[in-house]
Amino acid sequence: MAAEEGMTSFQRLSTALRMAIPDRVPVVLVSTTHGAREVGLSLPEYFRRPENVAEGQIRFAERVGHDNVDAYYYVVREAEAFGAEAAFSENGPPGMGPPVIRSPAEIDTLEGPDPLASPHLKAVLQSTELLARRARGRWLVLGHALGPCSLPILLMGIDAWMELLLFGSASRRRRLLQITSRFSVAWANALLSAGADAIALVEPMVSTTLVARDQAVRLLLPVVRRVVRAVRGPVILWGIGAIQGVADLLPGLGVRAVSTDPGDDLLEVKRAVAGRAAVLGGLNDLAMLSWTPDDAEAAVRRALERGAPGGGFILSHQLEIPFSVSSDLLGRIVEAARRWGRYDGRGELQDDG
Amino acid sequence: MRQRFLDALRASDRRGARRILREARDRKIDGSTLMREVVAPAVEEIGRDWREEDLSLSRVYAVGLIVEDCLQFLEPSVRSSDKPQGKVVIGTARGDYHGLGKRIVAAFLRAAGFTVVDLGMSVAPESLVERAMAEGARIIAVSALMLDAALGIAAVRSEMERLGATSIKLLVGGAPFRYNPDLWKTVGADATAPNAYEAIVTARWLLERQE
Repeated sequence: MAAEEGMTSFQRLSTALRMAIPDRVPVVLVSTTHGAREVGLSLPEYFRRPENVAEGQIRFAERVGHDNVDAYYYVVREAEAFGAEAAFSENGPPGMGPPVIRSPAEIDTLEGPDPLASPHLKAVLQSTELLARRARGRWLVLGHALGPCSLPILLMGIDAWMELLLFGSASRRRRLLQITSRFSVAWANALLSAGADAIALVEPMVSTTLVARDQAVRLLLPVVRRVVRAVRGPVILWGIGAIQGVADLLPGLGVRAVSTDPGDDLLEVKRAVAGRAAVLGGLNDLAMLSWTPDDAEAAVRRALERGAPGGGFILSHQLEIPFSVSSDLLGRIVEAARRWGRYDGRGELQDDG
Repeated sequence: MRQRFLDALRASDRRGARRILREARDRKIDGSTLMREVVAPAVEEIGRDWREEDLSLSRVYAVGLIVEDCLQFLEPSVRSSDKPQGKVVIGTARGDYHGLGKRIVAAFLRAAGFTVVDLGMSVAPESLVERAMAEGARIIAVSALMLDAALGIAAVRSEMERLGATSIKLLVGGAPFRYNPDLWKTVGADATAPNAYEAIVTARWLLERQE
């Protein structure tokens, strides 16, 4: 099927990230777990060797047909470099164990680790190198880095971080954000050096689901802006929650694209970013748990109708595809994007009704 | 005073809220009256605001923290004189260490007159059920941020059935339940609530159904 299309996945996604018009709407799917199923391993076994993750991601992309591959292991990976422990399960990505910062006072003596010295993150870099070698020119390799304002959620728990942010010591807040900023920049640049073509900066704290706009403007966005500027490659801001209420501010951070929440209105977000960044989203990954193939196709059509006209749109979802969502269903999503998401030369969708 | 307290909640003004309660205490207004006539109505009022607009968690959390402060300040005198609405055992699902939602819901339920037994984070299903039975609780409330942990709440229902705790109601909440509106049924819950205020409304509704 891909051979019939005008671009490779890499070209399609790169084009969209440059705000030019690709042959059709690209599809970005993020799953840390489907690769394990592709290579027939349990999740703990899958994450044990970098080769497994690279092989699993390639097979997953070949089967489903989406436009990215990535060596994203699981969200706790970066916190592991700070000493956190991942809690594995058989049915989904590992969750977070108890926080490593147990009281705000511990921030005073916290040392930010070097991501390159972490065995957990070295494995991610090895997977990224392997993927980059195999994906070259075919798929876009996406590297995932936790943003400086959201890494503290994993390090100290969201309630302690929220309390420090809103009511706590300003000097401790600044110190923690300096540590996490250095870490985010170093990690993102390491991923780029290993062969990632773009960075998904996972930063739910910029979404208005978590933090109100005025608070984000005052406390968080300047920090994110400095980090984005220090990253030596294209950055997609992955907000996870709703971003419509801050969408007008996000291109000013220097990002190439912003991800949305299923509750965001894609048309309104596109208006707000005003051609200064591409918009990702349109699909609700947690709703996929109960979708039929027809539901999936209907969801794709709704998303394309709202987000695709004029270009600057990448069909995607808010966080991570649940393990129990089948690859067949995901294939239907990509197929629907191929069918209904083709552009004419002016960036309008071709009528394929 | 109620309006000033409500304004403090809306402005996330923790110090301002404390000041109002201190002033009230200086004027010899007793804790029960303050809870009944100032704190509880303000919590209900701000909860109704949330039905009209999408509030950020940071705002909701600030309100939760202020309500927690008030409860600490007022609770000794309230506890001795007011009849609680019912007992709720609350915790985050096993494997989930995200306790913010639980903390806010617990504070709101307390402000609304419920007695809340907070078992903390990553609570085993059997601990939730056994403690609920031992405490004579009428509701078990479980929150989860991670999908896997949310799906694990089905084990709480199994445990309730195994131990014969069928009169206790199971209330669930957290992001997976908001994104997938049918998930609460999948895990065998009796209800879900999208925010702390709705948790009060839903808990009352569950109690009515028990009676």
